[in-house]
Amino acid sequence: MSNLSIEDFEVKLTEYLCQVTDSAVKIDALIPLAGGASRDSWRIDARIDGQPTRYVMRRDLPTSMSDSALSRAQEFRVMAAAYDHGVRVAKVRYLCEDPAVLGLPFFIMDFVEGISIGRKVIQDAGLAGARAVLPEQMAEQLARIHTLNADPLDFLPRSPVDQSPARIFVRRAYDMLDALGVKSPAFEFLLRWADQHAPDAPAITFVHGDFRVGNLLVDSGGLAAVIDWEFAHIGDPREELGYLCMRDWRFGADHLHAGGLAPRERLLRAYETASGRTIDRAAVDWWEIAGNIFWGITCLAQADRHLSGRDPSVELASLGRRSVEMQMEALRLIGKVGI
Amino acid sequence: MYDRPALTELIDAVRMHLETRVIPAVRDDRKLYFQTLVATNVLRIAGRELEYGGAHLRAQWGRINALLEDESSLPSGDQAARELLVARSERLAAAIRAGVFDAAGQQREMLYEHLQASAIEALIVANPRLLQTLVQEGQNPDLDAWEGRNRAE
Repeated sequence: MSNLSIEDFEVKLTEYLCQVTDSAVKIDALIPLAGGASRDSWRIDARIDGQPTRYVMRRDLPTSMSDSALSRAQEFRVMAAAYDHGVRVAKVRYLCEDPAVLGLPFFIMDFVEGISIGRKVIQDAGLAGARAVLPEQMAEQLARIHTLNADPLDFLPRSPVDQSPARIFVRRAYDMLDALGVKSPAFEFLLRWADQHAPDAPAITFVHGDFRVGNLLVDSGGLAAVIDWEFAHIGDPREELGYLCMRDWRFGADHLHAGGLAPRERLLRAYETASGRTIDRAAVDWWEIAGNIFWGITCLAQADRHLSGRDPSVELASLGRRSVEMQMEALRLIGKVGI
Repeated sequence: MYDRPALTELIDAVRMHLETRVIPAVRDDRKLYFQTLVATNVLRIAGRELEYGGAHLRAQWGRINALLEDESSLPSGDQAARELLVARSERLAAAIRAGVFDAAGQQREMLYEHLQASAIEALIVANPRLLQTLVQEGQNPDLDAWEGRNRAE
């Protein structure tokens, strides 16, 4: 709660909502939502001028996970643009950057009902109907996301014109390793391979940056909303297709390549139909390998938050020993396409 | 050297305490419940490292010797051996970045085999269940999503 008691938190939030809505506000319940290790999300059940209203508050935690993540103000603008573009996303309402209110910047958005826990989405018997339609829905949403006009979002990370997103990815991964002081034969081998096989990008678009089961709200009808936009950037649309196929995002259904839901080809054909693009399968292969490298290094970065004393946590510590899962997978896939 | 419980037995005692006493008591606090499950898994990893660490260290030493064309023998002390292995592994990492293993051929294949063997050793300690899945996929390619990635349904 970053120095605020739950009572103070509720009082401050009530005052804030009164001010921005210019109405009488009574908060009935504040419910913490399952979320990542770097953001703090709460469901707010309130009455605004007597009208029952459900919102979600999304706030920074004192240490953010990654320097490449967007600020809350930037994420707010990205989500607003996605909403206006017709992407399935919660409507954002109010942004507060004044640390005097809740300690750290936050924003308020509409509450969307749905399950974001990947393992439940993939395993829960009651969601079989949702799983049947999710591959096409995900493909359609991605196709729409990749046509979002990013010109007004000039703060988004983007690669220099003379370098492909794949090459920039490799350089950033090296930078992450060096910043952590990690000297790993496995990552050195993987990155050198990735560098020598980096695909050119026929198209550069807006990308969500962390699109996978686990960052979707899913109800019985399938995809209700796309969440967690903090890694949005300008990139190669194929990176999202490869990324969501990574083994770790299959949540136990390892044999179903596309998010534990379907064979990859079904996702790619649906995406090609929805987007009108032709997708080079070998580039998607590369981005899946790259996704494993990135997530494997990120595991080490998460463990470093604990080891450095910044965020003491057994959960973060344990991620350090998960890195090898992604190293193994990337090594295995490279072995199949040829070292 | 010391009285029992031995180190692995101490770790097991703490893990059992968490599993049988703490986890049932914190079921209603989702975050704490999850973190405590993680903590029990961390203790399992520590227990497996105590069991396999020595053998893995000797195996890695031998493979890195072959790759760096160095015949040094492993120091007798545990701590010294670990530190030296780390230093030599970092030397290998620097050599890879410098392009020493770029050319196709036996050296590169040996490197790949070393990296894969080291990842398998780390998985034996950190996640033996994933290793089991990988073995099953190796035996039955129909289970391996990557093998069928360009096939429709």
